[in-house]
Parts: sequence; structure tokens; C-alpha cells
Amino acid sequence: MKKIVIVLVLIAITIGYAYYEQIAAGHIFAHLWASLSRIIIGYALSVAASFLTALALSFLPGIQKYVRVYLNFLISIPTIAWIPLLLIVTGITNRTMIIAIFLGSYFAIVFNLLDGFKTVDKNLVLLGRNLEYNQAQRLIRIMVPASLNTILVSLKLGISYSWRALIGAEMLGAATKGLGYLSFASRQFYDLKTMFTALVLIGLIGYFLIQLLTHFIEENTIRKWGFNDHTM
Amino acid sequence: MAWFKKLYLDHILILIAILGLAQFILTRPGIASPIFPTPLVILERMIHFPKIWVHALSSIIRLFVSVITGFILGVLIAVVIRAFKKLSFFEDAISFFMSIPGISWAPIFIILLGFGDRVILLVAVITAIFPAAYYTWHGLLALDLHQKQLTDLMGYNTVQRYIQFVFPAMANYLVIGFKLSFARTWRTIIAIEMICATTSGLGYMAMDARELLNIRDLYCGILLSGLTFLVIDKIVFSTLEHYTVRRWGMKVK
Repeated sequence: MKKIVIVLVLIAITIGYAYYEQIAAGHIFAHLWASLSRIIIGYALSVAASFLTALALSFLPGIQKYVRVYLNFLISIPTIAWIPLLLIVTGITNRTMIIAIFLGSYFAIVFNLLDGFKTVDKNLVLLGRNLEYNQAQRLIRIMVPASLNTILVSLKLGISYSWRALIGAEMLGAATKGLGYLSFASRQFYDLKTMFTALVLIGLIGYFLIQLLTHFIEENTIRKWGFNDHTM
Repeated sequence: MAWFKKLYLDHILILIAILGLAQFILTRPGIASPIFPTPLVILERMIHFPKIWVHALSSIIRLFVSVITGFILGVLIAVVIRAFKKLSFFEDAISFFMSIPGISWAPIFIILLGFGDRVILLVAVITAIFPAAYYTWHGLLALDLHQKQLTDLMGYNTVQRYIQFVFPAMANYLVIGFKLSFARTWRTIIAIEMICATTSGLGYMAMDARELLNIRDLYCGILLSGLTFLVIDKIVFSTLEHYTVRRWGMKVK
């Protein structure tokens, strides 16, 4: 909690400095909000889709091993490599950014979730059978709670990948707003002050998003219930 | 040959089936579009346009130069900082720098150094430093103090202690740090090449293809950037792990 408060204070100081120095013509908050709104939408879509995919695949163990090979390949493709293609297909719009965020984390989260489901204690699965749970009950009452540790690790990994994808996408394809756009556009005017302010905000917000997941969710769930700690 | 059949034949058949299906669907009237070239068109481009491989090689060379340099610097930074035990904020500082996407450094260095290889390598080295430092730091923290005292009793000097005890004892952390540095740097190199490469690189090729609306090259770039990473990761690192940490009874998670 202490770390979150410190990061929030640092973000507030940086924003205050940006207003005082009239960085981005006093519209720093608009850039910040543009990036935050994109990451919220893109990441939420990615998490929802990856959970559905992982749950669906956990019902189909036969095809899972084949899907994992392709997931591994898709994770290996840097998200930024998709952006030139996305710019042609969807243009310089918010959709490009949101798809980039989605692609940035979707495959990694699915892969890690499948890993998590696979490492659940077999005795727990057998217990579910003895209790005559059906597949869906087994999944919801046993697999998901037992793999919460991995779920949180994959969520943290996902947000970190998504944030990187967003900044890259904004640099290459944002039209008017966003921290990546601000940093890259200020290059044309040799405006180092704006560039460093954007860089500090990008770092602080990336750090804040990971800490948010760590503290508010991890502290109140798996650590409270006595699961092992996992580092990223 | 039996192991090959057992391991890969089913995967190869499935891949051929998927590609065949894609070829069939993407050539149907009404679906065929220049935005979605067929697998055969992409394959033909990869064979008949050898410059693609030159671009890939250029990116790979940049990757290895920057990862090796960044990794060594990261390890050294962690070792030096660990010597000053009161610098406990180091982990948070490293975590903060790790949250900054490598590409964000690009505009600053473009202003300072202009376009070209210098900026690409510098940004890539910066990206590689932090994961290496982070995991080296954790490795140093996890060392067994009794073993460390043993090296004191054996009369090792600082250099001997690091080479003969510290680094081998934390080899699994070093491998994780190297792998993470490698993965992040590869992504950064592709990104930074899009912005400031002048003649070569997979990222440069992708942006060039975008300006010329050369969709085939875009797909070739996407495929090659994934395949290159996968091949290096699976072949180079698996071999490295096999002959080092696994042989020494450690695990890399």
C-alpha cells in the first residue's frame, strides 16, 4: 500500500509540474486519460477473451497440446510487428491501439492460464470427481481457485505487455493523444522537457498498474488465503 | 526417426491442414483480398526476395550485440549495488525502469544522436540492462551465507569468490535474467527499427512495406520476427540450459 501511495504522489507531482511548465500546452491530463482509457478497454477485453479461451481449451485437453505450439509462436511475435499491418487494415484510430493492447496480452495470458490449470494438484481434481462435480463445477470450484496464483501472475504479465504495446502503438499510430504520442511528437520540436515528462509518466503509470494488481488483488486474495508468493 | 514421428509428425500434419484450409478459403471469390495474401504467396515472397533474410540477419546481429552488452552491464550494476548493502531501494528503482517500455527512450536518443545504428543499439542495451540487474540482484539476495563464509575460509579473493562461487551458485537467476533481457530486447529492437533504422532490419522492412502498401512483406516480417525469436529461444537457450543449470541440478522457472 505504501508503494502505491508513493507512486500516486509522484504521478501527482509530475502532473503538477507539467501544468506549471505548460507542457503539452497544459493538456497533459488529456494525454494521460487517452492512454489510460485505451489500456482499460483493451486490457479488459483481453482478460475476458483469454479467460474464455483458456476455460474452453481446458475442456478439450486433446487439442490443447496443438494449440499451445501456436500460442508459443504467437507470443514470440513482438506486438509492435502487427502495428504496420493494423494501420493499413484499421487506420490511425483508437481501434488500432485497442487491438494492439489486446494482442499484446491475450496470447500470454491464455498460455499462462493453461499452464496454471495444468499444475493443479491432482488430488484436488480427484476430490472433485468423488464429490460428483460435473466439468463446469470442477472448473469453477476447483481449478480456478487452485490456480489463483498463476492467474494473478498471468494478469500482471498481461498488463505489463499491454502497457508496452500501447506505448509503441501510440508512437506509431496515434493521431492526436496519448503519452506515447506526446513523447514521440515532441521529438519534432526538440522539446526534451515534454519528452522526459512523458517518459517519467509512462514509467510511473506502468509501475502503478502492476502494483495495483499486486496489492489490491494479490494481498486481498492469495496472500490472505496463504498461497505461495510468486514474483514476476 | 521414431522419435521424430512421435514428436512432430502430428504437428506437421496439422500445420499443413491449417495452411491448406487458409489457402482454400483465401482464394475463394468474395473472400480473396490483397490485405489477406495466401500462405503460398507469402512463402513465394520469402523464397524469391532474399533481402528479407538480410533484414532478419541485421536484426539478429543487433540483438546479440545489445543483449550481451546489456546483460554484462546489468550484472555489474547489481553486483556493485549489492556491495553497498543499504541501497535497498534498488529493487524499486529497477522495477520502475523495467516498467518503461524500451521504445520510450527512442525520441530522446534520436534528438541526441540522430537516426541509425547507434540509437538502436543504445536503446536496446538500456532495455537489456534492467531485467539482468533485477534477477542478478535477486540471485545475490538468495545466496547461501554459509557457503559464502566457506569461500572466506578458503581464502578466496573477491574475484575468485564471484567466479568460483557466486555466479555458479546463482546460475539459474542469471539464465532467467538473460532470457528476459533477450525477450524484451528483441521486441524493442523491432520497435526501434521501425522508428529510426535507415537501411535494414525487420522493423525497418515492416515500416517500409507499410508505406509502399506491400502487404506480403508485412506478413513476412511478422512471421520472421516470431520465428527468429522462437528458434533462438528453443535452440540456443534450451541447449545452454541443458549444458549448464540443468546439469548442475538447478531449475529455471
